[in-house]
Amino acid sequence: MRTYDIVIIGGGPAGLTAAVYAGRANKSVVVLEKGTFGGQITSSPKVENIPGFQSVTGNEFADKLMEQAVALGTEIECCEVEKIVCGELFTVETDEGSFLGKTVIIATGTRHRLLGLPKEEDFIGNGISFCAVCDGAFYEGKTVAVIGGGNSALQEALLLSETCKKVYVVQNLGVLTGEDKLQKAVAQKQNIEVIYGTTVKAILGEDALKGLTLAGASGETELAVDGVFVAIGLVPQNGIFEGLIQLDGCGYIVAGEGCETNLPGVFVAGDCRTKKIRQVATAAADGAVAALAACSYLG
Amino acid sequence: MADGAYLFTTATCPNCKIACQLLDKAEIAYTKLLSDEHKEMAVQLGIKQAPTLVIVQGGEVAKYAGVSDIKKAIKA
Repeated sequence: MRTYDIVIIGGGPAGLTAAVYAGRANKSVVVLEKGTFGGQITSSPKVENIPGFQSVTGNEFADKLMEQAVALGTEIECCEVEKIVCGELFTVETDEGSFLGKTVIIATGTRHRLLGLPKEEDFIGNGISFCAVCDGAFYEGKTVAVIGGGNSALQEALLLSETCKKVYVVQNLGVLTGEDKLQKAVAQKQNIEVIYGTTVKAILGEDALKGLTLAGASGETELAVDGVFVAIGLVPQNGIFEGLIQLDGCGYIVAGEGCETNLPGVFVAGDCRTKKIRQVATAAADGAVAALAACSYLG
Repeated sequence: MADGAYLFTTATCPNCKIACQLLDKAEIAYTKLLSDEHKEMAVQLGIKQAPTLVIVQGGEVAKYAGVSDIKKAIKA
């Protein structure tokens, strides 16, 4: 079994950026990814907020980043991590065997919580989005629905209201749960309409998303929209690290800007750590910090 | 469509390269198709994601979208 200087768990922008920095420092690196190299950004048809790219598809960006990491000697493996065993080295156990690392960088990211409806996953990147900052521009002058009533949902709605013709906020509860300041801002927007006490029952459309079937106190209704922004929370992918590394109450790995966890030799980068802003640029920044911290730890 | 395995890809898709590696490693013969050059076929098969592995056998068509599903199909 080969021993790597750094085993990186997760092949999104944070993990691949960490691989680039570690590769440039002549460290041996393997990136373990269970599903999609490139991470969530590969669902975005057009990304316009990555430094250096006026406009790029999520796949193009991820492809270039992966190529860059591989060119620097990074090995990539498609496998699912099951657990980390601590010893003189870290043994990262996966469904495809074990990998030994002198250090580990966790960059497992988050997943947006889904509505759990048929066709939902088919429409991701093609009518369903999770990021108004990323995809809002594609709905300029159109009608959209934001699902959720918390801070994220209200922030998404406010941002979308700047460019969209109409923004519906569909909230399952009878009240919004976001901060008062956000609720007041939403109330002042003429083109935002909050639909309370209503859940989404179905997504309408075949090749293109056409609308939603909603269920409220007065029964089921259809709402015609061009796009849907789902903002009902994020789900960190850190369950397997529970008991080994300190997680916060929501399941995020506790770490500051230094990307160090409570376990010496294990670092964390990107959306899976405690932080305020989760964007590609901040994930990449974390990857750089975590890789350099790991290099410093290796001496 | 003749029996066989077809991998629908796009030119700039990191996970298409991973899918090719997995199929090569498993020594599975397949035809790699660029979706842009086979749009009609992709539409007919309802393909909306790259990579998607299509296995045609005796008129039956099975689709596996994304690396993790392709990996599961290879292991099955």
